[in-house]
Amino acid sequence: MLVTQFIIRRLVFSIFLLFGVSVIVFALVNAVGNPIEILLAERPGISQQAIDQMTAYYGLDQPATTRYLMWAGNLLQGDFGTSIIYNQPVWQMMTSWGLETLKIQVPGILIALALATAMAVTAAMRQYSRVDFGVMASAMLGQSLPGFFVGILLILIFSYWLGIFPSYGAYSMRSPLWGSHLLDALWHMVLPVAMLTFFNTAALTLLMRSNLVDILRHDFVTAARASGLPERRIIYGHALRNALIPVLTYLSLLFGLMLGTAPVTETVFTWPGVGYLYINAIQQLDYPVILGVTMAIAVMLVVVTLLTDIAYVLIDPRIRLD
Amino acid sequence: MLSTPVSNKPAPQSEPLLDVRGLSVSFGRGTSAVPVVMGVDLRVGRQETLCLVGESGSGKSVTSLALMALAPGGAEITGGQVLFEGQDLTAMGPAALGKVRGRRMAMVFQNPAHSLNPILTVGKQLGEIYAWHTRANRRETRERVADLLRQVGITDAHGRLDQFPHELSGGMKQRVCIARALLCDPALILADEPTTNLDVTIQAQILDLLDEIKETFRTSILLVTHDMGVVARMADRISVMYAGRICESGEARAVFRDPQHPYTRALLDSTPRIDMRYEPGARDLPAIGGRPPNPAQRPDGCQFHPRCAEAGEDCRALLPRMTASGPGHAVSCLRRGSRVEENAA
Repeated sequence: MLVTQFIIRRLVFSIFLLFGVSVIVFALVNAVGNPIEILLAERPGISQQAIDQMTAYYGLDQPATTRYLMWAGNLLQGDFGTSIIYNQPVWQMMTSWGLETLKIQVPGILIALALATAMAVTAAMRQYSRVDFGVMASAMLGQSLPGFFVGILLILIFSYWLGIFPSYGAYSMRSPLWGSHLLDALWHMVLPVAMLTFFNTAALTLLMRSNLVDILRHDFVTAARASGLPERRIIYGHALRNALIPVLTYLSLLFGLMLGTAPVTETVFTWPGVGYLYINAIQQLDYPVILGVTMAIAVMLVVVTLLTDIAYVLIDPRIRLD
Repeated sequence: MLSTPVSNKPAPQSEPLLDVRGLSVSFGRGTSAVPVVMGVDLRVGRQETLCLVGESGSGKSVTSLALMALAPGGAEITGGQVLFEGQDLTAMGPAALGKVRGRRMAMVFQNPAHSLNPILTVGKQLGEIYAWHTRANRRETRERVADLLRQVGITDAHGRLDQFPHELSGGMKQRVCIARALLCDPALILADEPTTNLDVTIQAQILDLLDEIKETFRTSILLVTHDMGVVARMADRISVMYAGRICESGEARAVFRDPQHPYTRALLDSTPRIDMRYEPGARDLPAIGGRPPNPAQRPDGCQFHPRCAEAGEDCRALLPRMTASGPGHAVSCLRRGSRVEENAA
């Protein structure tokens, strides 16, 4: 099957998927209640007239189906609506806050991939040795510690005790570090990226080590050794490439669910990213933001899965696109 | 038959290409180490085919890997020498070994489907080896690989270069593996059950190919097999392996005409013959009763005695050692007058 044909078919299928997601999310948000009532619950002084006015302004007096159609219609034209709390266009908010999320998530995944590769190769080449057990034990420990716990631990050690890294935010409020905005941004990124790296490395290492151990037992690895190729080439050129195939799925999930897992990190470090925005929106029932971010998560997952499937075909010739 | 003294004539052949002396391999270390290959001696002359025969688990595959100073996971070469072209491979470092493996001594594996890297094209994985050993450029490498594919009987060799292993048939894959072994004109090819996973008709073609290669490339072949039919067709010399030890070795003709060890006789008797009729009840194909010993709990004395019809009291206690039984023929069996291994328990 042609790659373009495959992509078109998947995209058509994705439309139905995204439609389903939008209906479910809209219904759920709708079931929670009227955001105006929640917003004004602790302000008894506001007149009924003002409440009616606001309800009409946001179109909340319309039946749910009408509101869904309006929202979906606007969405198709690229209009995500306006945040109730911030009174800003949702799209604009998502892009600026989303950039902050990518700033910590992408390095968190890529550094983890590099570390995990190095550790998995070291461990797999000396299977059942002390090094191997050491790597496995620390990876399992890392995986069983909850992410937020590691984050709080990092803050305790590096911010509270040692005072070398900031515990919250993406930028300094007053003067940037050493007068450089770039250094200041990097300085703030250290702890959140460390937390994400720690968490991602653990799972990736375990996965890669077990794949590598399995691949190293294959005849083609023995055959490569019997052909006189040096061990480094065999590990990196033959074994690792085969071992990475199953890791690709996990990696794509990390990328695809990046926005979905962001809230934990961004809450711990008060990081101005999409995750932080999402959690706040849910707490205050800022429904245009909730809907927008949820749809963005769904779209991202669809796109990343599509790219992963294409990547599989490029890496593993045995896989066909059907 | 009684043992005859070793012939007085000096051996006609010069120094053998491969001379294995007392090779031992164990799984595990220390007190829990389980020996799987014990004191194996093998000799392969130039342009000669030696068949290493034995049943599953006799240690023949481990032996063939150890000849390349390779060991499957958890195994270790614990003793002996592998003298190849005058050098001891067991004493070499990785760099020196890299110049022997694939260049002077190459290997063909049992399962062609598993011994090719699934994600590299034929041209890439064979080319990598040739380029590594010879420092040839891309074009020369491609030409060399295509040339060898042609020589092992693959049609449209240039087109095959860009195909992946899964696009080839089983017989074709094994031809590719043989081409891989021949890339650098090796002096010795180790073939570990190269036809076991193939159809009977393809088996015959691959065996013909190996015979042809022996002539055109002037290589020696060490063929590991359990199939006496293959042995009869290919072997110049035979070494029979049982439970990690060689129990009989000699010129193929001598071993077939006058097998000495009871195990060799039983192996030959249990091979179906086309000139005999096997009707139910009338004449069954003889089988060897019992099982080979568990390597972790070996019996004392001759390893074969629990399954041997001729075994006597001495066989249960004493370990026989390889002793000449005729010109170019040796056996380790007390009933054939073999001497006793002195340092064995």
